[in-house]
Amino acid sequence: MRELRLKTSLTLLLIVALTLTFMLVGGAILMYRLPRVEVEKRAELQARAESASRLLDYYTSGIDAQIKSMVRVVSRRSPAEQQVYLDALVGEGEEFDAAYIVSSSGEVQMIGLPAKSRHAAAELRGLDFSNSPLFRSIQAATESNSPIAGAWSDKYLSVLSGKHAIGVAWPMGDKVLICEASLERVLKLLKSIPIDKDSVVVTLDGRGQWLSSSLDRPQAPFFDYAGLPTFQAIVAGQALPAYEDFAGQRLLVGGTLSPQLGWAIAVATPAGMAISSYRMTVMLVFGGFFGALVLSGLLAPLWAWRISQSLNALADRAPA
Amino acid sequence: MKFVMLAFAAVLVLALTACAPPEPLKLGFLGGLSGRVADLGEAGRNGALLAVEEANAGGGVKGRQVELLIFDDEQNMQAALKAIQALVAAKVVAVIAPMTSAMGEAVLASANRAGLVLVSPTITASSLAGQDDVLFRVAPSVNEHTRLSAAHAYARGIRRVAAIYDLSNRAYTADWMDHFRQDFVALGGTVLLAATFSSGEDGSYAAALKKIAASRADGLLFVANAVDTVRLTQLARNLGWTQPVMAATWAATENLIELGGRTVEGMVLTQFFDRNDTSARYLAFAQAFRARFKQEPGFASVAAYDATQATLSALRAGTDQALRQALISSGPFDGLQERWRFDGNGDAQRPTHLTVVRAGKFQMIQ
Repeated sequence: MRELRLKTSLTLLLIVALTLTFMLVGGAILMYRLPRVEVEKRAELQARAESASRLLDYYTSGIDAQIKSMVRVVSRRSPAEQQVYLDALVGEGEEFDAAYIVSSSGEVQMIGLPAKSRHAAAELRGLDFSNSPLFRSIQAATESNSPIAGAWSDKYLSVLSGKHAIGVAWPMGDKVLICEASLERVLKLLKSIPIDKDSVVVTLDGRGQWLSSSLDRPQAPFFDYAGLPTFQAIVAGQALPAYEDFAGQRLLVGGTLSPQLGWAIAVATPAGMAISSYRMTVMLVFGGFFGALVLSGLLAPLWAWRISQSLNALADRAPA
Repeated sequence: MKFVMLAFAAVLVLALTACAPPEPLKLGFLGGLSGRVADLGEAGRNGALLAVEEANAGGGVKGRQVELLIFDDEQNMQAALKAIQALVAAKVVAVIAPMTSAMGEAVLASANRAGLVLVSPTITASSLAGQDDVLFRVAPSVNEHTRLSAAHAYARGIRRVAAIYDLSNRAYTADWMDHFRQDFVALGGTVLLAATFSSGEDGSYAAALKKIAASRADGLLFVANAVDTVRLTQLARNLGWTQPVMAATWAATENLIELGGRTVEGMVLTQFFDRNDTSARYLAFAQAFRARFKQEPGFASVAAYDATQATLSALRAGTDQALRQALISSGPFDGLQERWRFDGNGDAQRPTHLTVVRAGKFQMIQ
């Protein structure tokens, strides 16, 4: 084996000792810190999803309270008065696009529409809602003598507007009051949730159909997400998977179910280096490591030279 | 020493490249996923998605997973053209699209220029048939539907038909009307009047019905999507009209029954597929579809599933041939309900079925 000069040996010793120390300490820091960064991020995403869900609940509870009192008042009125109340409930379409009073057999008996589309009322009267999932859910609740409560729908195609809408229905004696709101308007609410630029809020209906995204140009809109493990876990109320792999990206996801609407709200961000605190930790450790390597590369020869100088002087004075 | 290091680096790079999964194969889907035609678009998207997921579960195409890129054409020409450009830029191998003939006419020139193969599950307009282009049509031509519809109307004693058709998908609806008139007149019937309306314009339903009010027809024909067909039928019933109603295949989605309820009872429509099929293959598909999407498969789902399966099958078979040639030569394909193939112009000849809405379901008419 080739013999090294004392100065070279000392230089290498110092560099290796420093590098190894930084590798061990840096590695330990990364191993300890990075999973925690992801846990913290996941908790943050979960909190955001829950906050979005609360916002929706707040909205739906407000609507429910409004309709509940409306039902109490309207059910005791004459048909002519009921029409006035329906028109007042819809107003100019601020909250609802339409309100229908439907007979127990599903026939539309009365319609409240904003003034601009009131001419369509005569066309829609008599329409049969008996196959509508919303009407059916109220009927099923009535038949099973469940406590009186409203029911919200998934998105559906509106026969009035021809666009996707959501509806809320309340039993009204032997009739049903159905109010229809534009899906767009409801989803606008979710745009108001503050979120960092790397994350996205995605709203899915109870069947896993894409409803909205906080991105201006959403990735994979109109996709059916029912097969994703995260969606399935949210719907089943189970713990979410640690990661969701989607469109070639590994994502951290927080998610929850909006209890009234049954929609799944997921907040996602790319995992790993895309998280700023994750990136910062890695950069600090590697920066420290390479900085130490450069510094030791410069200082070690000097230090080794100083040590070796004294040792060489000592060796020179020693008797042969 | 340097040589050894370089050789080691080269081996490492090669090994890493070999271990990396191959790039997914990109397939596009383009349909109306918002607005009045969303029922057709969503049903088609779900059929295509199920076929892709099954292919991926079976190992993909030549070891590559298939990625379905989904776009909404909004039943709007500009949006459809923009989507085609995006799909070309994304380097998709083919697009399962369009879902309506109007969108077919809008994007065909652009797709032809880009050499992008379009495999349409549902378009039937005869103006798009018999051409040597990039468009492949899985559904039988409109004349198959009108012949069946006209024959059934005549057989049940209808002699004078008044019709209303939608101008927003004129390539299909006007074609449907022309062929129906031709077939019905050939049998001895008369189409007294064919009024038009524009989908989405509330006033135009009443205006169209007003035009045919004095016609004294003994049968009504609506050539429109499901939402508009429900609106027209309800308005006709509110006016006290009791004549039997026929509608075009376009309206035969699950939404027609959900939105129309008893209003559409007795309505007769043609279908691309046999809803009474009890074959193991179809039943397995229907079960998988219900489990995956929590809804019944409709004609667009079945047609999109077949279109996607055929495209993937041609991609598996096509070695050196272009996809267009492979689609023509690699048939017949094992469709959900029958074996079928494309002719030299990319048109499929498949059976058409007649249904009536009875007790809230599409029932086959034998």
